[in-house]
Amino acid sequence: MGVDIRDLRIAIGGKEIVHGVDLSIGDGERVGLIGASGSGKSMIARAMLGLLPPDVMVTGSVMLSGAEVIGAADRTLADLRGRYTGMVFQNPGASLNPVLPVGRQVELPLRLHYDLTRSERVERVNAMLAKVGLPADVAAKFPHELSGGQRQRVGIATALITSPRLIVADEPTTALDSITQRQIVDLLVSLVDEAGASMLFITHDFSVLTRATTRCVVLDEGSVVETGETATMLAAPQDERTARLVRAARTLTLRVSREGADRETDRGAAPSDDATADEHEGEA
Amino acid sequence: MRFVLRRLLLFVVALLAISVAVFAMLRVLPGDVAAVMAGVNSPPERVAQLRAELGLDRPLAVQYLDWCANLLHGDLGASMLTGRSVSEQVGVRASITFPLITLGLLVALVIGIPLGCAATLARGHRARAAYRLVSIVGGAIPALWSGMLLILLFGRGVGLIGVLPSQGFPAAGWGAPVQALTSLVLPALSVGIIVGAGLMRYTRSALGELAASGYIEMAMSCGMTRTQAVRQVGLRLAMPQMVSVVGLTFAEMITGVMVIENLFALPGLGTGLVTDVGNRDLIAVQGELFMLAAFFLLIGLLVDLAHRALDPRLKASIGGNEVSA
Repeated sequence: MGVDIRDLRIAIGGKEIVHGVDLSIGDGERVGLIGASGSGKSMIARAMLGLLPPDVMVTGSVMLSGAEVIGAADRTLADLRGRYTGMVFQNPGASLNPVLPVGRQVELPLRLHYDLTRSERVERVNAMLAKVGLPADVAAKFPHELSGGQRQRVGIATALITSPRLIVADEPTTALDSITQRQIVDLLVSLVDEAGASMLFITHDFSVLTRATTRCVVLDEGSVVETGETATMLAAPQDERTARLVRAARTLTLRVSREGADRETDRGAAPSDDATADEHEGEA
Repeated sequence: MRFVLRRLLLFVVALLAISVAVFAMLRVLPGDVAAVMAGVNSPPERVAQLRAELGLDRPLAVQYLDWCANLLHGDLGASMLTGRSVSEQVGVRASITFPLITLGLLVALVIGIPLGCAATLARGHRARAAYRLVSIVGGAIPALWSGMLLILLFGRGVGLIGVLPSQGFPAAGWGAPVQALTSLVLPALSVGIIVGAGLMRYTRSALGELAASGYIEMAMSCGMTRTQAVRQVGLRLAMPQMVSVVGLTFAEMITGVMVIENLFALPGLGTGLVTDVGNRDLIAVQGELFMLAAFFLLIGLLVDLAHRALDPRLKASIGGNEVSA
């Protein structure tokens, strides 16, 4: 599913915060959207999926697989979401329904979009949980009974259960420690590639971006300042604002790598099994 | 299970404390129950005789234990004024007040929750202002005024569309179910509109916070419309708090409907308590106060158990098996 965004403008309370953004994602392409906090990244992601509150003014065009999102009816957008698109949120602890067992949460897109029997849904949920490295008994647990990494795996399972053509990942690693960050990015990338889906990966961290994307768009104060191959842009940023972000990311990456190395030393060895690492984290 | 047992134990302890408080309160009040019963000009011998008859000459601890033993058998004593059993009297009054407040609460829920949802989902300043106006006006109407207005509109014999009885409760009580029920419709509407406006504001406030949360966005990202997400996910998430509010509102309504009971000439619990206090029928007041306090405690217990059953996170925080992120 391709995405074509043209002249996207978003205003809250009469103040424009995204100024005419153009962005496109090809079939099977993984594109990064990077920018400092408050640059409008998450607003763009939400506008793409029609998730912004009704009092937010959105103009321009967002074509999702040939269908216009801006101005579309609520029902039309809801039919697209969860079926053709999936979203992975920044903080699964604040987005997974806290009173719903994990299995019921993961099956929600199936329940909303497909006419399946309960046992068929359970079968698919268990298969999906296994795919994201979670044991089947997690299905009966509530989000608060899981570690941060496990919750994000549940978030990914929910986003991917219907094999959508586009995944929007809104800073999916920000709330995690550096080791779990890497595991989650690798898991997301492998599952998206395996499904042949496209992905918009939003982050303010270049170190994560290089693992997750091949091309990226840099956003500053609501405007696109640079677009290009992720690796090239990291090596030789053209715009001063991009260069500033890259410098900040390098400092952060150095610090995070040092902290990560310290933690791995503390744990005795780098955990090879993702789920084990998460469980370890959960006990911490 | 441990929580339930602990909560039940707390209920029993609180009940005991309240029984002591109610018993002691009426003993420390100025005046002697026997003197009040005997009348102002009675000779001291008559008062002393009454004191002995009532067992008031015994030590306080013995009197208290005796009262508690009677309570356990459902015996609240006999009214000083009529000589009738207080338990029976409370039972008859409760058979009016409880159906009245249950109906009133149903009206409030039917009005408050859908309007609260609609106010949360309202688009545009005008629609939102209109809902705000409804909730403010609804909550600001005095019960007496809304009751009178309803009588003037629908009261049989006096109203413009006089279809419903507006005075009294059938002598046969619930033996005449249709008459009993229809006599409660206007009072229940009067109280329900006001309580409903309060519930509407509470629903709007609870859902307003949740509507901007990640939980609603997550449900929408799975394929729900905003309306579906707010109604299904938002309401479910707000339910533990809503249950607390509804439970406490229900408890408050027992005495809160007194004005309405008076207006519609319904001999309910609130009206009865005020009458008994006015008559200085201390035995009746003691029993009624205890029953009211016990009911408040029971509602508190049920609300706590429901709250816990509705929010699985509470089990973890009390059981201590929450996993850190």
